[in-house]
Amino acid sequence: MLWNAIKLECKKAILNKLFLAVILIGCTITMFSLIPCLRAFYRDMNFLEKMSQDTSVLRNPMMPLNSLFNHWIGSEAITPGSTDYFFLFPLLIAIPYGWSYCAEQRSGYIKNMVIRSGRWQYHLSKYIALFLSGGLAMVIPLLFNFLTVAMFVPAVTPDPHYITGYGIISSSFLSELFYTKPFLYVFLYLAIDFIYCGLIACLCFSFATVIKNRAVVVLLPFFVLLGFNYVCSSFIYTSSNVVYTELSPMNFLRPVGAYDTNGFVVSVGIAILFTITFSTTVVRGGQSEIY
Amino acid sequence: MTTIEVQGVSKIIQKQTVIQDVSATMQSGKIYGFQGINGSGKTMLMRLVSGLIRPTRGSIKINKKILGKDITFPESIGLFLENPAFLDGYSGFQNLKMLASIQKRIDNTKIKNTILSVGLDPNDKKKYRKYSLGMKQRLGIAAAIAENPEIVIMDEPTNSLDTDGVELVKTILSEQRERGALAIISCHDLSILQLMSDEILLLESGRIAKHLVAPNFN
Repeated sequence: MLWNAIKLECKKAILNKLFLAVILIGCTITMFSLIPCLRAFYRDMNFLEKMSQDTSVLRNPMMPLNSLFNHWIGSEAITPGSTDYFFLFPLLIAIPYGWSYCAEQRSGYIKNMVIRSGRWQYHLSKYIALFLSGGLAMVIPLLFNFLTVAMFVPAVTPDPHYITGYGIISSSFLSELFYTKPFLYVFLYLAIDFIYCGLIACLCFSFATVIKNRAVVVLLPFFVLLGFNYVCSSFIYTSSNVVYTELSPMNFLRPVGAYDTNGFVVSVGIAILFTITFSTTVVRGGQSEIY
Repeated sequence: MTTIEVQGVSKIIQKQTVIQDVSATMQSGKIYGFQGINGSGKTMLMRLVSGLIRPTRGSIKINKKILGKDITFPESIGLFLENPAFLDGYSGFQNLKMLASIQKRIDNTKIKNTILSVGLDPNDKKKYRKYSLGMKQRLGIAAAIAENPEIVIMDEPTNSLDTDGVELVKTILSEQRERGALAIISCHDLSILQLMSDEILLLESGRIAKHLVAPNFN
């Protein structure tokens, strides 16, 4: 019955109009990164072509800089597409299904579910569905951007000689992988984004156990992350002479940023989010009374 | 044979006693009516019997198994509590199909027949949000009986229904009794309850004030 409940919840979470709408909005936002990046690529290509006709001077074409891995949305922090997407993502991932627990509690639909599946089975299946919908809502537009850029820009392996052109320096998280196995680097980053956004979407579930307004429940993860980002930038990263470790997920979920993060921060963040969301929903919900 | 034994059950919510020392035994093949004014504890007692909430004192046994200890919910229960609640964006058939997919006890034909039996069209593509109050009520009743549960609990099933609808509820409950289910219904209106029930528990301030057995309802 647990498996059936998980299947049903996933179907409700992913085959709904809001999920589709968010994916479309997400993909549209990423287009505002795609278009400027492709323009820049073709401008550079045209420039190189012109330069190649002038044989009187030997120039370094710096070809490794014209790579998929520094033209997709995750590798740049300049275009409106990139800045908007990595600012709005906590909202986008909560919209598809973040409201669901709140709505089902208010309407009484939860009773239909728990008497058939069981208390903790219902809460666990809701948690899994919310996790998946949040993760997918984040990653699908990024993947769309990556694959679309890959149709135009060659996947040249980044060359550390041109490190200033990538935004990934030696102290950056997973930098070694970026310069050796860039596809694996992108896959790992998308996986980290998937896990984080799944867990951030599950925050809606935690909030819904105490807040009964579905709009508030959907908006809260965005404001929590924004608040944490503000605390980090205003009270932690106070000196311009110090290279800080990035703590804010709003910044480190994009590979390039002002500060670098590390595996410890990423793992601890996942552990904290999982503990908070799982304990307040599945563990507590499994014992809750339903009125 | 299904038996529900409610033994000295009390429920206190925020220091208020909403159910006070209630004891009753219910058996399959009978319809039990809970009657009382608003706030008398009818719905609360139904929540307790269905396992949605746990008693503060006392115990509820379903087939000798203690609810909340040996089992979390009755193994086979159909529930229609307060307002019908379904997913707005799906049709009546889709809603019941989704719920039935959890336990997989019934197929599409059974779902369609149940929808027909409550006077709705199973092929109607209309979304639940566009249903009238009466249609919502009928779908709620259909959801409670579709999976042939051993225990059927319906809270105010005649709300929002016209005269035909009330007759329909009466017929449905008789069918449940005939197939050996234990049915519990609640209603403000004693006269309607008398027409449907084999036994009536009159609730007052969370206590059982009277226990009437058919045909001696007066």
